Formats: sequence, C-alpha cells, structure tokens
Amino acid sequence: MLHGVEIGHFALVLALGAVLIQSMVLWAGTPSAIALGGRAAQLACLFIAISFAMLVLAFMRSDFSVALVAAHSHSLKPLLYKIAGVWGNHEGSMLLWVLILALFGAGMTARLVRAESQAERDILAYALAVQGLVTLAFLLLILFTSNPFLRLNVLPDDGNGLNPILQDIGLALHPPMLYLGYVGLSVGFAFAVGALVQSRADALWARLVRPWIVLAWTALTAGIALGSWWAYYELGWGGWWFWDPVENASLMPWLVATALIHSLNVVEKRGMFVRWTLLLAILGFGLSLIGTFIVRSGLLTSVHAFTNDPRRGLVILFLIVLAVGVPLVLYAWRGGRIGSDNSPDAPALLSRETALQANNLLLVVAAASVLIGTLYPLILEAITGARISVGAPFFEASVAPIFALMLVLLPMAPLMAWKRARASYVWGQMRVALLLIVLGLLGVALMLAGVSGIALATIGLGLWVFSGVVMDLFQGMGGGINWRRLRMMPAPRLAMNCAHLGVAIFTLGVAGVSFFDDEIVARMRIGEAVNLGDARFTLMDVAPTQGANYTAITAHVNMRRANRTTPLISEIRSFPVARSQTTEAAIKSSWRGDYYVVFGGGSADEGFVMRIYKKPLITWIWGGAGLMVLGGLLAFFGHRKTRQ
Amino acid sequence: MQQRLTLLLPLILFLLFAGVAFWGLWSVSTGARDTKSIGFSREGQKIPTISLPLLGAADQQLSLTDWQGRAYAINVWASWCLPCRAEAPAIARLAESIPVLGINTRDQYDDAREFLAQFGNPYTAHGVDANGRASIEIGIQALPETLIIAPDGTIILHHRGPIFAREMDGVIADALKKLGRE
Repeated sequence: MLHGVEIGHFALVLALGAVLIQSMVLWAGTPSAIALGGRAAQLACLFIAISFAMLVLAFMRSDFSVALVAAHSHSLKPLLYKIAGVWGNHEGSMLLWVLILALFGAGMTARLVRAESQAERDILAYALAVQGLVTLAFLLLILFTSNPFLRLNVLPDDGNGLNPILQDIGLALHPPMLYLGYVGLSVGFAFAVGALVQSRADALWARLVRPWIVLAWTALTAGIALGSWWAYYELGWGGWWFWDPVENASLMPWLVATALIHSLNVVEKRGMFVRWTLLLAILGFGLSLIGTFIVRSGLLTSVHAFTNDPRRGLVILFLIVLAVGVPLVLYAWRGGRIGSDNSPDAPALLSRETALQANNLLLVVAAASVLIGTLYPLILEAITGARISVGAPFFEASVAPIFALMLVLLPMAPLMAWKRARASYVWGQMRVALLLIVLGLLGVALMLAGVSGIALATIGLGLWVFSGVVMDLFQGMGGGINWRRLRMMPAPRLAMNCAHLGVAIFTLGVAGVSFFDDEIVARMRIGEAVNLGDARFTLMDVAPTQGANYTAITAHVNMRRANRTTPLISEIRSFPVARSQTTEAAIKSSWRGDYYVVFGGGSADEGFVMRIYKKPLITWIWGGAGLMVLGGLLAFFGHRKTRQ
Repeated sequence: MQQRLTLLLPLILFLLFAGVAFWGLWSVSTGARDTKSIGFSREGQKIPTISLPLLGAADQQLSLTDWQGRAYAINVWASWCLPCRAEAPAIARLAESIPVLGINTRDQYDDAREFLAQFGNPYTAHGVDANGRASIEIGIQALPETLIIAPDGTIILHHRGPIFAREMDGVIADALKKLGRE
C-alpha cells in the first residue's frame, strides 16, 4: 500500500522530469515548444504542491516513522506549530523554497499564455526556461542531499520537538514570507539571464519583469519586518536589529532589490542603465542564495545557523557558483552587446536619471558594506588566521552615513524632471519644509537640553522625507487638496509615496528608539515599585502556571501611567521535551512606543530581577515597514490594473 | 579594453567570494576550523586547556592547565545577562562545596566589577573572555552556563541556563556526589 510520504517522494521525482522538459524545450521558441514547456511548468508546480502537502500531512499526523518529523516535531505541539515545523528545518524549508520557485514558474506561464506579441513571448519563454533550470538544480539538491521523505527503521515513541523559541506566530510566518522574497528575486534573475542569452533588454523587458520584482521586494520587506518584530518581543533582549550574519543576509538582497526597483524605472522610461539593471537582477538572487547558504552551511558563526553541515554547504556553494558564475560569464561575454546601441541623449547632471543613479549607487554601496562586514572575519581568518567578530558598531558607522545621504536625496528625486531638472523648482517646492524643519528642531533643542545633534539630524531627515511625500502628493493634486485627483492619481505614483512615507515613519521610529530610550534593572520583592519615564511599575505576584506544552513562572506587574493601571504579564517558560527555556516579555504598546518588561527569575526571599525598558516610537518601525509593504502591494496590483 | 574589464569585474569579484567561501567550508569539513561544535553538550569530554587574562589584572593569566588534578566548577556570566543576576545566590552556595572559576564574557570591566560588588563575588578566580571566543571553545551557547569538571579534566556536568534551588538540589547535587563531595 502506498503511503502519503511515498506519494510525496514520487511526486518530487515526477516534478524533476517535468522541470527537465521545461528547462530544455523552451529555448526552441516555437509555438509548440512554448505550449509544451508551459504545460511542463504547470505540472511541475502541481507535483511539487502534492509533495509539499504530503509532508505537511506527515507533520500534522505526527508520523514519527519519517526521520524529519521525528527530529523536528512532537505530538504535544499545537497543530499550528506542527505545520510551521515543516519549514523549521533544512529539508522542509528547501521543499518550501522549491514550491515557491514552482509557483512563480506557474505564474510566469500564465503570463506567457497571455503574451500579446512575439517579443513578449520570446522574453517570457527564455525567462521561464531559466526559471526551470533553477528549479531543476534545487530539486536535485533536495532529492540527493536533503530528502525530507526518508523513513526511519526504528520507530521512536515521540518526536524531538521543535525549538520552543520558534513556537511563535511571528516566526511561523517569517520564513515563508522571506522565502517568497528570496525566491521572487529568482524571477528577476531568470529574466536577466534570458535577456543575456537573447542579447536584448529594453523597455518591454523592464515592464514584464517589474511586477515580479515588486512582489519579491514586498514579501522580503514583510519577511524582514516580521523577523525583526519576532526577535524584539520573543527574545527578550529589547532590540529590533542585531546585525547578525543571517539578518545581514536578508538585508543585502533587500537593498539590491530596492535599487533594482528604481533602476527598472529608468530602463522603462529612458532606456538607460540596462546593463547595470541586469547585473543587479543577477546579484539580487545571488545574494538571496548566499543568504540561505550562510544560514545552513556552518560557514559563519551565527545564532541562526540551523544545520551546520559543511559538506552540504559545499554542495550549495557549488550551486551558487553555477547560478551566479555562469550568468556573470555570460555578462562579461555578451553584456557589451546590450544597451550600447540605443544610447539616448545624455541627461543633465541635475535630472531624475542622476538622482536615481545616486540612489542605486548608495544602495549598492550599503549592500557591499554589509557584505564586507559579514565576510570580513572569514577573509581575515583565511589570510592571517586571526579570529575576530564584526559587530553593530562597524555596521552602524558604515551604513548609517550612507542611509543619511540617501534620505537627504530621497524627497528631491520625485520633484526632478527626466533629462533636465530645474534646481529652482526643487528649491521652490522644498524651501518651506526645510525652514519649518530647521525651526522645529531648534525649538526641540532649546526645550530638551542635552539632546544630541545626531538625534536631531535623524528626526530632521525623517521629517524631510515626510515633507517630500506631502509635496509630491500636493503637486499630483494640482497644487491644492483635491480628493478626486488623489483618487485618480496613477497607482505607481501613489505606491511610491506610500513606500516613501513608510521610510519617513521608519526613520522617526529609529530616531526614537536609538536616542530617547531608557531602561532600569531592579531586584524587587512582591509589592515593591519602580519608576521609569512617566510610568510606575509594581510587582504584584509571581506564580507558577501551566501552558499547553510548557510550565512557566509568571510575574504579574501593574503599570500605572496617567491614572490608568494596566496589568502586564512576563513569563519564563520551561519546555520539558526540548529541555529549554524561553522568556516571554510583557509589552505595553501604543503609538507613542513601548514599555517592555522582562522577568529574570529569582526568589521571594532574595527578590525577583526585573528589567524594564522604555522604547519610544518603536511601533513606528513596524508601522513604517507596514507602509512600505502597502506601497509594494499598491504598485503590484496597480500595475496589473493598468495593464488590463 | 576598458569596457571588457568593466564587464569582467563582477565575475572576478564573485570568484574571489567563492574562493574564500570554499576555503571556509573546506577547512570546516576537514576539521581545521571549528564552527560546528557550538551548541552541543560537552559532558564526557575533556575541558579545553584555555588560558584567559585575569579580571582586573590583565598581565596575569587564569590557565585551566594549572587546575588539572583538582575538581572545580566554571560559571560563565556577564553583567548584562539578567538570569546571571538571578542565579548569583545559588552560585554563592555552590562555591561552598567546590571552587568556582568565573568567566566574564563580552563585558565591560566597570560593569563587571559593579556586578560583583552588588551581587557578591564567590569566585576563586576570574578570567576575562572579551570577545566570547573562549566561551565558544568550551561549548558555551547561552548565558549563564555552568560546568563541573573532574580532577582528570572531564566535564561531568554541562548545565545551560541559570541555577536555582531546584538545580542545586538536582543536577548539581548529583554531579557533586559523583565527585564525592556534598
């Protein structure tokens, strides 16, 4: 009798066959080849979906005869986290990765079927063929090195559990979101390699690839924000970004994807930056691969490194060398033929082209700084044998000035015209805002003695970007408040302003958290109270409690602020199966920021250790990221609407 | 020629990256570099013979080789580690049964001294592990962690997380019993 697990395994093998066809026949470009290749891509997607569903089923049923389930699940785990356990390990996450690859392949096929011209058909067919090659490589990797469907000979009574720190809704959603972003960039990569093979990339190419990049960027933004949010409230460290190698690994593709969205604009509108854009598309996916590679190879020391298997790392490295090296060889060989013949009239120094070029350079330099900082310990060890670690101070010192420069330029770029912009126009638009910001900051500096110049500058930059958004919307409405014209505004422009507004809000949030935070550590007995900021915290009770699959010591704290009392609960949870502990911080959030209470254990006699943080405006960081995601969604769906 | 070079540049940079990454993985897989053993219990293994500058006297060394032939405990902590404060009373009790060596990791000297002034200093000697490398070498994954080492250098207990009364009467008591001390 066939079991689900074997069906899943076989489906994966069938998918391999389908993908093989997809990646081979589409290069022919004839109508019958395109029909066959498209059907193969759809079939591959179906088979991989079946395979993934079977693995999910095995986890839901707690089928411990499957090695992967036994190693990463437990019968006592809540159902949601049994399902999330599917991608909480190397093998399952690779299958999810391939599923998303195949879903994108099916999406590209749907677009290919509706192609309106031979030129569109060529671009899409080549891209789909490359996408097939990428999927093929990953399927081989899974089947030969990371098969999730292997059975055990000896049946264990129960599973090994999932790391309890990962049993959290934020983390259940964070990897799929991140993968959607990483894998989404593979579509940009596929289009770029297709363009290199064809020696052709133009405005049509940019129009076809753009929605995929926007979708990937949106998912990547959401994924990174979810991960940061999870670290903030689950790890109990009170921080939102730690410059860990794995966080950096997700930041680098994000920076490159952001650059790519902007440079595609120039390719589409002006036919410039073509080669640069191809390179960004290849590097964006390359960095995604390197990101996943760092997580699972044991190359670097990181809190995230969940499968430290250097031999598997070597296989993945080989894959990356193929996936990035071959296109770069193609680029060196063929790149010269692309984009050089259609040289348009050169733009003036002050123009939107130059502004976007500056944006691209700054973003790529930021990504390169992060890459160098992340790899530097490895490079140094290779050369001198010394072991060091590169921490937050390096990244803050190197990346913050680049970001600051970017924020200075950001609000002015949309006000600049293509080809030649007038400085007097930009100045005319922004001078009132500049004056208000400078006066406002002077006021703040006088009111709050001792506020640092860098704090003021950060707030100023946030307000500066905000003013740019207001002015551009104002212009779009014909120089006044006109709701009808706001609704009529083209989706891309609304989307851009929404995302830029997110950047402004995010910047203000960072300013609040970085320069106006406060914390206190106290040893408290029941009934004792401490003050922090304008709030007073009283330890009411400490008691043992029982959760679904853990036991906990729970501290009840009353927070009193502006005559309102809020009960807060912070816990230390012990998971007997995984033999580990987690800390649940109590967080009181509002638009003004958070109060964050961490219970550190202790005893009634000696007192309990409590750490309380004040995090002003930290909610604006997630709010800003949310607006960026909303902007991405607007651009994606707005684009589809304008096409139909 | 110049254009050729511009077109080749990305490939050259990428190959450099691939080379370093290959070296990194190869040396790990042949055992020359060790990033892998982080996070496994070291019970039953020998304690690596690390040597650290003494807290407050950087010109002198705390060397674990000097401790061979004696049973002792190692407690790894930092002033910024909240559970480390909570376990301070238990460490004081532990120090009554067995010498405890402190390893102060990734910390500032002034903060560490203040911590010891406030929560007590039951440690026999104190090493400073400024960048956390020594902690990684002896298998520390989180803070606080406590190890108990037999006279022959074998780690007989590797406890992750803080020590409270329950641990004192449980795993710690068991380990001390193995050493013939109560």
